[in-house]
Amino acid sequence: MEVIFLLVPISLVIVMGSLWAFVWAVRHDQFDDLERESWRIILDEDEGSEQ
Amino acid sequence: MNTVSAANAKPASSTKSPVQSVSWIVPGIHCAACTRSIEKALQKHVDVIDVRTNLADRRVWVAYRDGGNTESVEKAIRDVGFEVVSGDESPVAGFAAERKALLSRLGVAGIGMMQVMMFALANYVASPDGLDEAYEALFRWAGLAVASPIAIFSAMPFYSNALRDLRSGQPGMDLPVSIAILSAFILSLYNTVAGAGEVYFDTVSMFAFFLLAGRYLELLARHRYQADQALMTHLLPERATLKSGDEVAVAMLRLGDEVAVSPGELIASDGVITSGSASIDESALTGESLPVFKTKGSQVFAGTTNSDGTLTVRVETEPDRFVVRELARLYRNSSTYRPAFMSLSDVVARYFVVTVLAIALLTGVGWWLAGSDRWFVIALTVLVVSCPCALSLATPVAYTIALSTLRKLGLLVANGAFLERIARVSQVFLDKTGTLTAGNLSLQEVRLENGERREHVLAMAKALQRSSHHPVARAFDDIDSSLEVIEPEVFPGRGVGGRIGDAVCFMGQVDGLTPPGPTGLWAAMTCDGHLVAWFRFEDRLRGATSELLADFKSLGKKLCVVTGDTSASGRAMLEALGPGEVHIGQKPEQKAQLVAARQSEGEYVLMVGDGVNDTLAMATADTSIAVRPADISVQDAADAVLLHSDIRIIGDVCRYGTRIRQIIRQNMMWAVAYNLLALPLAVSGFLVPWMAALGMSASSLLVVANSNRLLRPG
Repeated sequence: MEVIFLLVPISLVIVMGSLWAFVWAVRHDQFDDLERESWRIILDEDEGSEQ
Repeated sequence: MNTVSAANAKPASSTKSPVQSVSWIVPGIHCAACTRSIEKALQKHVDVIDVRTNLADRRVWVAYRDGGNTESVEKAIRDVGFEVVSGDESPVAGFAAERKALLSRLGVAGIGMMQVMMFALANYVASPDGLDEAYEALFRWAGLAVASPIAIFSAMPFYSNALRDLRSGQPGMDLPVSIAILSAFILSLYNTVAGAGEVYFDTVSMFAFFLLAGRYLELLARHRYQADQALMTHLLPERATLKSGDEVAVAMLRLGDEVAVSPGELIASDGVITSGSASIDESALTGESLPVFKTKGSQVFAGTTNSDGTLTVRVETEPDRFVVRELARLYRNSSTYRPAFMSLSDVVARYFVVTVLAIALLTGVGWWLAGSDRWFVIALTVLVVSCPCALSLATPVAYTIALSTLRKLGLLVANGAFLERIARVSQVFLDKTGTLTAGNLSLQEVRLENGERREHVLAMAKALQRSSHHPVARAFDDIDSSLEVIEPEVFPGRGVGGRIGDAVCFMGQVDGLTPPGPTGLWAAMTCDGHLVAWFRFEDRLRGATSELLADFKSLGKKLCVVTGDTSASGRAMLEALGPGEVHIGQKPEQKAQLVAARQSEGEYVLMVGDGVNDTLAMATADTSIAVRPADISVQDAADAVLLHSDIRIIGDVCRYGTRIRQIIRQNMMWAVAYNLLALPLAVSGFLVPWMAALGMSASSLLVVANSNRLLRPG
C-alpha cells in the first residue's frame, strides 16, 4: 500500500493540470458559443480545402 | 358677436425637469449593503440632489445640480470601492468579462471540491481505529494542496467584498461567508501542519462551490434583463445620408436637414416624410409587428426601419430629444424605483448580518461548553445558512422582469410606481378621441360664415394646425397652405390660435358657440372674434374598443368614458357598448374634477388617454396610461405609455399587475420563512455545512426563479 504515497502526489499534479486547463479554456472563450464549432463543417467558407 | 375667451387656457409646454440626471451601471453591487454604502457616500456629495439604486440590475441613478460635475460623482462611487460603467454604453461588453471571471472561479471550486471529497473519504471510511499516522498525514496534505487554490483564488470575491463592506461600515452577507471559509481553512491548515485534529477542507470547498454557483446563476439571469435594456439605446444608426449626398453623424443633424433613407435602412431621425412612401417597421419602438404605411406628411421616428420605399425625411426634432432616446431614458429611470417598504427590508438586512455573527459565536461557544466535538462545524453552519439577500432581492428582481415583459408588450412604464398602483385600480376613466377611436379624424364638412371662401378658410386651418399635435391636425395633412401663422399658440383641450396677416385667429372649441349640427366633432374658426367657419370631423371607434370594455367589465372594474367631443352620436355609440357612464363635452378641468369626485368616493382611478387635454386628469388620477401619444409632454405626465394602438392589452396589464403583487408577496414570505426555519435548525446542530451553503444559494435562486414566472405576460 505504500505505493499510494507516490500515486496521490501524481494525482495532485494531474488535478493542478486540469485546473489550469479549465481556467485557460474560460479565458480563451472556449465556453462562449458551444454550437458554432458543430456548424463549421456545413458553413460555406471561402478558403475551402478543395482547390 | 361671440368673442374668443381663451384667457384662462395655458399653452402646451413640455415639462423638462430643471435638474440633470445621469445613471451608471455598477457591476460590483450584489446586495443591499452595497447599495446602501453607495447611497450614503453619494448623499454626502455636495452636487448630488437625489440618489436611487436598483439592486436587480445594478444601476445607480443620480440627480445633480445644474453645473455639477459627473466625474466627481463617479469618483465618489469609485472611492467606496466600486467600479463604474457608464449607464449609456452597452453593458454587454462588461458582461462577458464578469461572467468569465466568475466561471473560472466556479470551475476551480467544482473540480477542487470533487478531489477534496476523494481525499476526505479516506478518513470517513476508515475502521474505528482510524488511519495510520502516515496515511492520515498524506491525505491531510493532499486536501490542503487542492483546497488552497479554492480558498485563495475561488473565494477571493467574498473576501474583497467583505473588506469593502467593513470599510464602509455596511456589513453584508459576504462577511459571515468569508469568516466561515477563512476560519475553516486556517484551522485546517494549522491542524495539518501540527499533525493532529480535524481538517475541514471538504467544508471549505463545498461552501465555495455552492455559494459561487448561486452567484453565477444570479449573474446569468441579471445579464439577460440588462441586455434587454441595452438594446433600446442601440437602435440608432451612427451616421445618416443627407439628400445632398453628404454623410453626417446623427448627433450633428439639425432641424430642417433632409435625410435620405433607402429601402431596408434604419431611419436616422424623428421627422416628417417630405417625399416618397413606404411601409415602416416600427416594432423596435412599439412592439407592433405589422408595418405601418407612411407617406408624404407622415411622422416617422428614429430607430424604425424603412422596409421597402425610398424616402426623404425632414428632421423635426433635436437628436438628443428623439422619441427613442426619451423612451430609453424613461425606462431606465423607472427601473430605479423603490417602493417604500423596501427601505424597511434594507434596514433589516443590515442588522441581520451583525445578529448572525453574534448568534454564530454564541452557538459555537455553547456547544463547546456542552462538550460537543462538533462545536466548530455547527458555528460554521450558522454563519452560512441565513440569507437576508432573498429579502432584498424579492422586489427589485420582480420589478425588473415585469418592466421588461411589459416593454415587450408595447407598454413602456415611465414611473416604477405604476407596477404597484395598477393592481389597486377599481375605476377606469377612458378618453374617447384617439384612445377609443382610431384618431384618424377626417374632415367631412366645412360650413362657411361671413362670406369667406372655402380655399382661404382651409388654408388658414392648415396653417393654424401646423402647431398642433391633436388628431384634428392630421385631417389637414393633404392640404397645402402658404399662409404663415405668427405667434402660434396651442390651448390644450380647446384648440390653436395665432395671427394670420392682421387678424387674430382661433380654431377649436369656443365657449358660447354651439355647433350647427348634432352629429360629429365640430370645430369653429374665428378671426378677430368673428365666426368664420365650422369644420366637422368624423372619427371611428377602434375595433378593439368593445373587447377592451368587455374585458374591464369581467375584471370587475367600473368604467367611465369622458371626452371633449360634443357630438350626440358619439354618446349614442358609446352607450351602445355599455361602458356604464359617458360624459361628453368635457373640458380638461372637468375631466379632472370627475376623477377627483370618484376618488373622494373611495375609488382608485386609472386614467387612459392620449392627448394633451388629458394630462390634468392623468395627474389627478391615481395612475395613468397614455395611448400612442404624439407629444413628449404627455409621456412625461403618464405613469406608463402604450407605444402602439392595440388597447386590448390594457386589460391584460391589469391582470398582470395583480400577479406582480402576488409574486412579490410570495417572495417575501419565502425569504422570511426560510430564515426563521433554517437558523434554529442550524443552531441545534441538525444541519451539516453543505446543506447550509446549498440552502443559502437556493434561497435567493428560488426568489429569482419565482420572479421569472413574470416573464409570461398572460
